[in-house]
Parts: sequence; structure tokens; C-alpha cells
Amino acid sequence: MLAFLVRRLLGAAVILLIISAVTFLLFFAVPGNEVAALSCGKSCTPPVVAEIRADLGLDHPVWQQYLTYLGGIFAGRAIGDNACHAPCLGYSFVNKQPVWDTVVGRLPVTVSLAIGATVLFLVFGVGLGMLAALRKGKLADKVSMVFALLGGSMQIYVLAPFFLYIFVYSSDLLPRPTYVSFFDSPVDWVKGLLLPWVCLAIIFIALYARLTRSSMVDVLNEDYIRTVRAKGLTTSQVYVKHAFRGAMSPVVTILGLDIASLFAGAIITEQSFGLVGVGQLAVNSVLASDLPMMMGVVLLAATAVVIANIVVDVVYAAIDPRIKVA
Amino acid sequence: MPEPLLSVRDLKVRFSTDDGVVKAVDGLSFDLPRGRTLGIVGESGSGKSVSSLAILGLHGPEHSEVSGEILFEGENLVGARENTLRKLRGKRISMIFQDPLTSLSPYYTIGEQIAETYRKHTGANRKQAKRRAVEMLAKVGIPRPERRVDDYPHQFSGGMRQRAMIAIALCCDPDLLIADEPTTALDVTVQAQILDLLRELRSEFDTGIILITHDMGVVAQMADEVLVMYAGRCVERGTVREVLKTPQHPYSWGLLSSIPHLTGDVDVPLVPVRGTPPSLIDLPPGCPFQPRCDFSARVPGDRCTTERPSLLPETGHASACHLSTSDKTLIFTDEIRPAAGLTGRP
Amino acid sequence: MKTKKVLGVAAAALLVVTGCSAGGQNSATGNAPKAEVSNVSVDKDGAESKGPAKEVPGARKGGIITPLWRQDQTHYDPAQIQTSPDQSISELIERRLTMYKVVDGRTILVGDLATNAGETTDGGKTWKYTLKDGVKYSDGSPISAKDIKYAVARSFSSKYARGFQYIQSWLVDSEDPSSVYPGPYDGGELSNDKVEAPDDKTVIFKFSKPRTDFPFAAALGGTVPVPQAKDTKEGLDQSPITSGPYKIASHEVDKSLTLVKNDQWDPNTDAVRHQYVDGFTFQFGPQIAEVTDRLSASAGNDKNSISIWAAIAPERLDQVMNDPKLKPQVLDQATSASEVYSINTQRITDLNVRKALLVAFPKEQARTTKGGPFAGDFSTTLGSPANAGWKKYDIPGITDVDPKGDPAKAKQMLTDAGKLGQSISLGYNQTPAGEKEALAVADGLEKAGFKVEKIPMQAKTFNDSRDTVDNHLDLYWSSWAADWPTGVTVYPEVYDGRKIGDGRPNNSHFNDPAVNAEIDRILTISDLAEQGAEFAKLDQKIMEQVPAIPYLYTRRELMVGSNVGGASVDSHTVTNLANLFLKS
Repeated sequence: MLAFLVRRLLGAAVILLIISAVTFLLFFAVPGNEVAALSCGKSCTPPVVAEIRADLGLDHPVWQQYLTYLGGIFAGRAIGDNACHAPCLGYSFVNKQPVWDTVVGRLPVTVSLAIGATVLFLVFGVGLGMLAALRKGKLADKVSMVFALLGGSMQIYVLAPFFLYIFVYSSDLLPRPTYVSFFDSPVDWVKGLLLPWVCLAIIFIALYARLTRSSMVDVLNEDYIRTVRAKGLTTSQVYVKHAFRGAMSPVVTILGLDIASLFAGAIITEQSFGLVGVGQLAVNSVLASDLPMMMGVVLLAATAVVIANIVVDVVYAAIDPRIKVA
Repeated sequence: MPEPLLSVRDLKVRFSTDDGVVKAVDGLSFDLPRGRTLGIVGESGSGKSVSSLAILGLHGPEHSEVSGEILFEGENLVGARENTLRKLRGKRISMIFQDPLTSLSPYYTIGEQIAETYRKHTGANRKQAKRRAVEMLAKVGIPRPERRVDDYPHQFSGGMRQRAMIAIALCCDPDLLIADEPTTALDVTVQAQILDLLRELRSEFDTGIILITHDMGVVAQMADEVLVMYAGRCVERGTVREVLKTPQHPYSWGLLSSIPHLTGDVDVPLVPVRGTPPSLIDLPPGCPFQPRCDFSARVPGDRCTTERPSLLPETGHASACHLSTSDKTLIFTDEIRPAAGLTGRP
Repeated sequence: MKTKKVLGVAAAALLVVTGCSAGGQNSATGNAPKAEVSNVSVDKDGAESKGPAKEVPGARKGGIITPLWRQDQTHYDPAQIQTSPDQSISELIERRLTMYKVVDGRTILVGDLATNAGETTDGGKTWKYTLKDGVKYSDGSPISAKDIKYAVARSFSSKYARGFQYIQSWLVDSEDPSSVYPGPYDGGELSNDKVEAPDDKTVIFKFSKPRTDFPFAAALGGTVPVPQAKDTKEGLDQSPITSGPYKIASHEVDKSLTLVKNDQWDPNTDAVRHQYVDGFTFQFGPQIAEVTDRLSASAGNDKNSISIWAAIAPERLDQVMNDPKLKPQVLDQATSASEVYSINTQRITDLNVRKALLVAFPKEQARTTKGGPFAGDFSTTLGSPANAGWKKYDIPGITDVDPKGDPAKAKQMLTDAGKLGQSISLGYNQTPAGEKEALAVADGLEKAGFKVEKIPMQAKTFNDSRDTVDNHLDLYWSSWAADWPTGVTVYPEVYDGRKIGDGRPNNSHFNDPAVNAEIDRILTISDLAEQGAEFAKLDQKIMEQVPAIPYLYTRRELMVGSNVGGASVDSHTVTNLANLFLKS
């Protein structure tokens, strides 16, 4: 297991390196970006532009900028008159703040959003799927799957204003969605994020319900379930102890990737509810041609995905003894 | 005579499908005395598996109708509550299946799977159950059982897996063991080992066995009585000697002819039973085997197509065929045996 | 000045509503208020510069207002600020030499830290300012004229030469002021023959040419005082030195800004601002649609919220403007921006073709794609009515064109000129809205016999690409708003043929030596009213050559929450922060 982890982590580092290089290059490959980064409004005389260019480090060749950037991540570097400690992801072109601080500052919102939504869609999605599988062909099954179809067809930017209208604007049931740190007030944390959680979860619930249902139905048709029944176990023992475990493999795979993408920022949800998280940061940094911020967000997202993949593999092997983590 | 262990009377199992009602088992009756082995022979679709699954209520009762009686030690299992059946499963009646790789859960060790059954029915604790598991593995002939008890099914070879399944089935000393094609998925040498094992265990535990197979050779080695099934019905019944040496049904003749015999003439061609099994939805009114039978012409009139033959006589060596007993004996002795290269006196 | 970074000093005599609450002036499409002529004056004698500021009827003290804004300010250092929303916050917390007072429909440039708008005895070459008594920084220390001189010197440094350059370039007579004097960090003290502060209360600006408009330039961020000892250089962009009725209590970049009362601010020295609410808590992040929805619903604390600049999402515009319930919360104002479609006169050299373009141009159809009358009124002049001295003139055949376009007439004109089928490269901003507008324009022109090729241009670089001299385009949208309400920052920038270059705003590449000479002449006029009238005549003269197609005088719609009173627009046509209070 240790050898496996070490190998995968090294592989992850290589992947992150490649992703960072590609992102860096793509930024400069789009001709508008560099120009936009240098925008200085009205008094954009050539000397001013040159000054800005030097400030932002854009006067060096691309490969050199990249290496400086990389070096900063490991060893820290000086930017202008400021020292930037490792891991230094640079300073934002736009708000002149350290990228690391900004990204980390936005993380609690995104992480909170991810956690809450994940709990909701796991409980309700998998639960609904189980229910449908166990009552296959009956009313409960059909109703569950219709709901899954509806939910999966929803779009967040349609649901969000709808929910807001019903729960916030025209009634006082919930406060306007806002982020309150869990450590400040757990109750307010929940109240403030409940609507975004539900909105985000609905789409996933649909997916997980269908997935769990079909996975469960497949497993229930397996021969070993028949053997287990022939041993005299009760129905719930059959389902919970045996069928569930087999059905979980595909769910775990998807779950890992979904959590990773949530950590990278549920962009549309954040925009729709006005939550200031990593997703919003991603959009703004691209629109503003803010290279260091873009890199920061991309690296964060890539790291989340890579780690999620490793975790999924480990969990997979834990579930299924046939799989060797070699 | 002491009460038989298992008594099946006119068992019928029907499945409703979109195409019609499938009569998987259409009136099956037999008795199994304690400690005896019954071989049920037939091709796929004959109803042999369904009938034994029906004994334990594992045939999918939500989608089917069962009528008739299944008396286990006097208690009728048809229509019994799930609770009752559960208490029997794995404890008094056990079942082993054809493919041990897919029939064992890949997620738990062999030891855990044996212990699971044991603990369910005896309330033993973990330690006791594990000890019993090791004991059973030793009994079924698995070397170094105390180590292998913590292995997963995929770490066992095919034969070992089947032994492990037998261990699971027998760990609670059942009175009846139903073995559904236990050797079909194994190669011949392993097959022999498993059959040896079953014989040993049978004498040690005094278990009644229902052995379902399509393989006459297995029947010959293991069974005391034989039941030949076709289209959901029994078409011949008798002791193994009777049925294998002097079969009295054209289907049985076909089965015996299509098997190569070591003691027979090597150059004799195999004669398979022509035609295909009938649909169980639309059975013809007469004898279900008639379309594939070469001898129905020898029955006067058209009884074969209009009248369903009953299993006669009531006791002893019986067959469901309109041919007269003397005809049957003659045909077998003069035509079937030589053609099939069967030697030996009847 | 380009409108992408909106720098509008709108003379807000256009239907400003002071008093209890703002009223939306139009309730149905077609009733949009007309852009009224500007009403700007300069307080030379200081009568209007005395504090305290006139009370807003119905105002009460207390409470916190929560402005909602999509993004944080780009700069807090006044020397670097160029956009109007940034100016609004800056003007609330950082006092400067002069400032705009908007009262009863008039805009008056008054002395803010100074006793009046400036004194000159030599026709505008020397400007003298005397500071009021009792003006202090928010830390209690007194403001000295020397600090103003230092601030001006500092704005020469190339690091901070990102803000307005007027004062600097006028002082050293150069388009590149930093090359003449690099600022106090590298070039020592700014010479006394440019700016002199003989004592703590007097500062004198000395120019080589008359600079009639200097009082207006003094209202920009360059004259916000900075004590040399407290100059934290880049630090000032996050923590500026303040002196207004409010000061910065905390600032989380891109998240929030909290302003609290500055107890060192003396209302008797301030003719412009009030201190009604206890503070402001800015929330950065909400998108425009969310701002509209929240202010419309005014649920919970949102009733104490306001928008600053981008308030009403285009898709909600119709609904909000026509909702009688929301009327008291909406402000609808013409800005000082004037939108035109510039014609590249270096490529379309035939005046008749340009006139045909003007006649054919479908203003109404194009405006519909921008939201209809709320986007602005059809313009007939190159400059905006917000500029002092603006007059509507008539040139038959040019100013009386049909807003829907007249394709038949234009076609005739083209045929007569022998240019039927003239090809036009129409450059446009490749956004969803831009696509629609381009489609409408192309359609109208094609009906008139032009052959239009639509050239999409990347949104991020649209301005830069359009402003290249060799842009290979014939017709494109441009917008300009004066930095202060006279023509001085309009015509010399946009229609002076000697200022054609990459990145410069003379988008029509118009170059008429007679006009250039006129510009030079008008700039020497020292009387504001006369200067304004002359610029109006110049507008007409330029228009006769049709270097551009007048399109719209831009409007802006703003919103406040239901509990906010005193809402009005300031001199930049954004929400005026200085008069706001909470009704309950």
C-alpha cells in the first residue's frame, strides 16, 4: 500500500506539472490575454504600459516566466518589493493580493458548499436508488425514477431564482443565502447554505439514484445473492451486508470525481446565489485575464481531482478484495 | 415404513410472463427417504432446478404460483411463511450451486461466509464460529485450513471453491442437501474428487441428497434412485440400476445413447436426441416428447398426440409412455442398446 | 474618455432628484426623460463653498447602508483612480481641493478643502488656493497645503501615473510628464516654479499657458493631500489617507469594505457631504441580476441596500421600470456619455458616402437591442448635452435624419455619388448584445445599398483593436464622456487631427487643420461660458463633415432599497453616497 501511494503521489506531481505548463502556455496562446492584462484605462501611454509589463513580469520570455513561477511555488520568491513565501503562487494582476491568500480565503465557502451538497445527495440519492431497486417495478420505483428524470433535467440557474423567490423573497422562511463560518455559528452556517445545498444536490441526487438503482439491480441478480439467501439470511441482511457492498463500487468511482469537481468550485451555484467562492474566482480571473489567479485556481482544481482519484482507488480496493492495489 | 424425509406431491410451478404462463414444473411427485440420494436428470428447461429451488422458496415466489405439496418431515413448505423457510435454509435444508466462483461473495473471506451461516443458526460467537469454519474446511479436505480460512474465494482454485461451498452447506448438519449441478463447472479429475467427498460426507452425516444433473455418469456413481424430467414432468422413475440398465422411456433411451461409453465400441457414432425442447407455454395435449420421439408410430391410433401418458405403475420402476411394457423392453434390447454400443447384460 | 472604464463627470443637472427619495421619471417606454442641457457653474467667490451642506429634507441619522457591487474597487489610491464608480467612494472619504455640489438641479464646482474654486488674476496661468480653517485628516492631524503639493508631485511618479494626467501634463507641458519630472522618489522635490506651498494654508499652481479648466481638474484625485511622512507608496492603494465624513474601518479585498464615521470631520467646513448614516458596509460579489432582484424584493436587510453603478440587469429593465411599486426606488438619468458610430475617414473619404451612412443608419432598431429608450435618447450632436455650453443645432440633411433610417433616400444618395454597393467593414464587440446590435446595423445599411461585412472582435481587446490606426475597419461603435463638464476633455481628444495614434480616442481619424486651429484658439478662452458656446459651434462645424454617426446620449438606471432615502445621482451619474439616509 505504501509503495502504491508513493507511486501515485509522484504521478500526481507529474500531472500537476504538465497541467500547470499547459495552462500557462494557453494563456499566452490566446492573443487577447496579454493585452487585456496590461490594460490601464485612459492614460495608457507606451511608458506606462512598459512599466506595467515590467511590474507583472510579462517582459520576460514565456518559458522564463514559467520557471520563475515554478520556482516560487517551492522556494518562494520576491515580487516587486514584497517577499512571497513558499508556496508562492504569485500576485494577482488585478487586485495585487497574493494568490495563495485569496484562493485559500475563498476555500471555506466552496468546501462548505461541497460538504453539505455531498451529504445531501449521498443520503437522498443513494437512498432513493436503493428504494427504487428494492421495490423494482412497483409504484415507489416508478415515482423515484420519474423524480430522478425531472431532477436530472433541471438546471441550477433555473432552480436557484425559483427557490430564492419562494423561500427568501416572498416569504421569510429562510435568510438570503450567505456564508457564515461553521466555527462562528453552526446553525447559521446551515441556514445560510441550505438553499444552495439543496439546489446543487438535486441534480446529483438524480444521477446517484439512477446509478444506485441500476447497480443494485445488477447485484441482486448475481449468483452469490442467491447463495446468501439459501443460507437463511433475512432480507435486510441480504441487502445491507451483501448487496449494498457490491453495488457501491460504481457509486464510489463517480463520487470521488464529483467531490473533486465540487471542490474546484460549483461555479453556476456560486454565481446564482451570490456566494463568493472559488468558482466565482475562476470565472472572474478568466474574464480579467488575471494569469496568476487563473493558475492558482486551475492548480487547485487539478490537485483536487488528482487526489480524489487516488482516494477512490484506495477505497475501491478496500471495498473489493479482488482488486489489488499494486 | 418410516416417514420419508421429503415428500413431493403433484408440484406445479407457474411463471406468468408477457408471452403467457410458463409451466416450469407441471406435476412432479417423488419421495426421498432419509439418507438416500435421488438423482434428477434432464436437459435445460426440464424444470429440474426450479423444482428444487421451489423446495426452499427461492424460485422467486413474487412472480410465480406454486401448487401441490412439499412435505419436509411432515411439514408442508408450499405456501409456508418466509420466516419458516428461512429457519430451514442453511440449517435443515442446504443447497449448493453450479458455479462456485460466482456463487460465493467476493467481498468476504471463506471463513466469514461459513461463520455467517453458522452464527445465524446457532447463535455462536465469532470465535466459536471461526473454529467451526476451520473444522469444516478440514472436513472437506482443504489443506492448511487454519490459514485458508482467511482467504477470499478468488484465491481458491475451482475445486477448492466447490469444497468450500460444500463446507458452507454442511456446517449446520442439514438433513437434506440439494446439489444443483455441483460438478458441471469443474474438470473431470476434480469432479471425481468432489463426488468422493460427497459420498464420504453422506455416510458421515447421514444426509439425504438431491443431486440435479444432466450427466448420467454422475447419476450412476452417486444416486440410489433416479428421476428423469422432461418438460416439467417426470417421465421415468426407478432405482439407478433399473433406469440405467433397463430404461423404459424413449427420452431416457436418447439420453443414454448420446453419451460416449468407455466400455463401448469406439467406432459407434453418438446419437443425440433429435429436435429441441418444447416451449413450456404451449404444451401440446398429448405426450410432450412426441415431436422428438421415433417410436410414436408404434403406438396404435394417435394416442401419443391426444392423450397425455401417466407415470405408471404407481410404485417401483415407472415410465410415462404409451408403448406397452413388452414393446419398451424389446425396443431397448434389440435396437437401442446395439446402436449405442452398450454392452453388458440387462 | 472611453466608456469601458466609465469616467463620466456628468453635469447632473439632468433631472436630479434631491430631497426625500428618488423618483423614477418614466413609467412607460416612450416617456423617457430627455437629456437636458447642462447647468454648470464655478464658485469663484466661495459663497457656495461654505459648510455645512444643505440638509436633505426628511433625513434622519443612524443605521448602516449596504451597497451591493459586483466587484471591489480597482484602486483606493486617488492618484490611480480613473473610473466613475471608484471616484464615488473616493469622493466620499477623501477630500480634495475642489468638489462638485449638486443642488436643486444645478451643478456647482465649489471649494472642498479650499475656500473657493480657485483664484486667478492672470487669465488662468496661475491658480491660487487657500485652505479652509479646521480641515483635518481622519487621524486628527491638520491638513497642510504642503501635503497637497506633495500629492501632486507624487502623481508624476510612473508607478502612479496611472490616474488622470491632466495636471501633470499641463504643469510640464508634455504628453509624457514622468519623463520630465519623475516624481519625488527619484527626482527630488517638485520645483516651486510649478507648484508652490509658501505656507500651510496656501498652494499655487503655475502654468505656462492659460488653463481655464484647472478648477475642474483640481477635483480629480490628484489633489487629495498626502503627508510625505505617511506616504506608504503602494500601501496607499489599500489604505488611503482619508479626511471625509467616513473612514475605512476594514477592507477584505473582493469581499467587503466597511466605512465608519470619521469623528474628526467638521461639517462646518464641508459644503457637499453629510454624515447621516453610521456607516457603510459594501458587499462585493453579487452579479447584476442578483442586485436587481435583491433591491426589488428589499427583503430583510436588503431594504437598507443600494446599488452603486450597475444596478438593473438588462433583461429586468422593462419589468422594473414599469413597476409602480418600485418607482420610488429607481433613479433614471442621462449620463455625460455620448455614443457614436465612428466612420474611419481615412478609408471612407467621400463625404457623400458618409452622409449616406448617416441617413441609412437604423438607430431605433439598434437601440432596441440595447433595451430600447432606457438605453438613451437619440443624439444629433457629437458631444453630450452635459457639457457646458451645449446647444442643439440644426444642419438640414444631417441632424434631421429619421432614427429608423431611410434606406430609400440613402440608396439614392449612393447611386448619385456612383458608389452603390459600397462595402463597409463593420467592426463590433463580440458579445451576445454586440452581435444583436451589429445584426441590426448591418441589416439597415444593406437595405440602403451598402455591402456590409461584419467583423467580430474579441471582447477583451475590443477597445485596443478598435483604437489602432490601421484597424482595417470602416465603421465601429465608440463612446466618450468628458472627465469634467466642459468640452475641454472632449474635442481636443476626439477630433484633434494631430492626436491620431494607436490607443488614442480619435477613432474617426478626423484631421481638419481649420478645426485643429479652432481647438487651439478655444482652449485659450478664459471665460467658461464663452468657451462652452465656442465648443458648441465647433461641434456643428465638425459635424458638417460627418466623421461619425451620432447614436445615443447614454442613460443609466440605478436602484436603492425600499428603506433608503436621499437617493440621487452625483456628478458622475452614479449613486451619490453623500446624501443617503435610512428612513427608519
